[in-house]
Amino acid sequence: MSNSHSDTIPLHPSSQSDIDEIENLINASVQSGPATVLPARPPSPPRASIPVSSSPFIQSKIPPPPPQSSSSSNHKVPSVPAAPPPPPPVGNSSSIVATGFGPPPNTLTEPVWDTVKRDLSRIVSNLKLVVFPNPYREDPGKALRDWDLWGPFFFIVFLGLTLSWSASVKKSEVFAVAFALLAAGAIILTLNVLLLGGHIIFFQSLSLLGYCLFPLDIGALICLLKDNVIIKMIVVSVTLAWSSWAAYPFMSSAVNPRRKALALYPVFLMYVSVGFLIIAIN
Amino acid sequence: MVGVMLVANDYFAIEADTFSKPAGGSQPGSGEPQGSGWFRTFTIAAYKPYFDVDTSDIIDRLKESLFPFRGTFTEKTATNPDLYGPFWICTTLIFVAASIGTFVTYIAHKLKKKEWDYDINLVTWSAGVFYGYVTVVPLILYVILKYFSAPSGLVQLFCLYGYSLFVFIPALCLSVVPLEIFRWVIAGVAGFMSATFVALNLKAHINSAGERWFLIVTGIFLLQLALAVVLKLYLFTVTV
Repeated sequence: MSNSHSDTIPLHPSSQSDIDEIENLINASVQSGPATVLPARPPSPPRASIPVSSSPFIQSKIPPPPPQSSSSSNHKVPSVPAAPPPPPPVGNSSSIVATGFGPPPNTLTEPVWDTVKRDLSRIVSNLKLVVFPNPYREDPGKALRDWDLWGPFFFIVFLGLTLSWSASVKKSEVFAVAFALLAAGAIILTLNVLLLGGHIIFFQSLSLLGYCLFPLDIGALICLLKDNVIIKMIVVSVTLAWSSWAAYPFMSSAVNPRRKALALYPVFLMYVSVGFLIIAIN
Repeated sequence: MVGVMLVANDYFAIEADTFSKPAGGSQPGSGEPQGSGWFRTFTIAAYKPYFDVDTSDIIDRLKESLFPFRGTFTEKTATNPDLYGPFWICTTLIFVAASIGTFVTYIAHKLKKKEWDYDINLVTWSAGVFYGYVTVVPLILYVILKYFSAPSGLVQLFCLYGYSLFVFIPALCLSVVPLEIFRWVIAGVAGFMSATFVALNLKAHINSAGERWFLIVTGIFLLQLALAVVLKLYLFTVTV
């Protein structure tokens, strides 16, 4: 078994621990091995063989651990026993946890910052894919597979809050109407597509419609800062067109081409009504 | 939270139809009987036949609703009544009514240099009026017609009433003009067209059965006119 630093073949996560175990057995039986074999090395990254067996097998979307963690786990200090599981990596800021025998990296035990960072990066990547569609991107279907609902939630709440801040009277009613309009609107739009015989996944569509609200969020923020009616109308028209343009490919591809207008008109209607709300609130 | 969403994704990705089925599991096909009797009202598949229309169908029906004196609407939609039209016409009307009403009060206040605040209640009020009208009146009419043994399908009635409201959209847009007489004329014309549309199409249907048809038809006509008047009064009466 080569323990050299040049071993850069990325190992399968579940086979690392096998290799570690075998190494331990070999090295335990050769306690007085030659000093050249294993100089002192930093302890291996902790493995998450956490005895949380009651949790269901949840396949998280963390990519498999990068090669350097696999090669560094080869450089184990021989005397570190493998039996007691290492303590959870509370202070550890490395984002990837090497796997144990059981389920892959358990998201329950990682640092909160890791979870938040992962979700934030997903929101950002979904946003880039949905709202700034690049025709030359490598994987057009990625946003569709990797949907999440945090992004849409933030955008809807932010829009409601912005409208509520801009309103001079009845602030809470404005927030309530805006939130209800957007949330119910997204659900109704998805139902509309489904009823027209389209093929769309419910939550995925909610997610996409939520992300397409991002330009209107920006528009609302600008309107909050600048109170001139003409500027508001221009800004809202531009962001409205942008939102509709972002939502167009997803909605139109989901239904029969003869019914495309039937599926797209409600989307346009919802964004126009939100845009109107932004202009009207002063 | 990530795991829950992923599980939910897999669950709902099974078949788009089944999202509202109570107990999960994938249905083998949409042609099979699904669930017990009253559960079916909560599935999407139960309403799909009412959305089986293409863009060209909808446009035809919209154009048909603008010519109230033909009376052929019910024949054309008897076999394929749709709920897409009524629902989205109502929703568009709510938006148009709220925005035009707001715009009218804004202009009126600005002309007199007064303070103006956006009244969010316009949206909720017009939503209540339009959705309520298109839901409740056909239901009552359905019951009445059944009582007088001239039954009409409930969905056909929803369809009829929904499309009858279409003429209010251009009427509301035209009512922005700040002339009071003009607004009353527009409201009157739109109300008359809409009421005639409903009355004539209904008359064609129930003429054959029962002797009270005239009463019913007149009642319907007046009700639609009343709706037009109420709209005009609430949305365009500006007290500044």
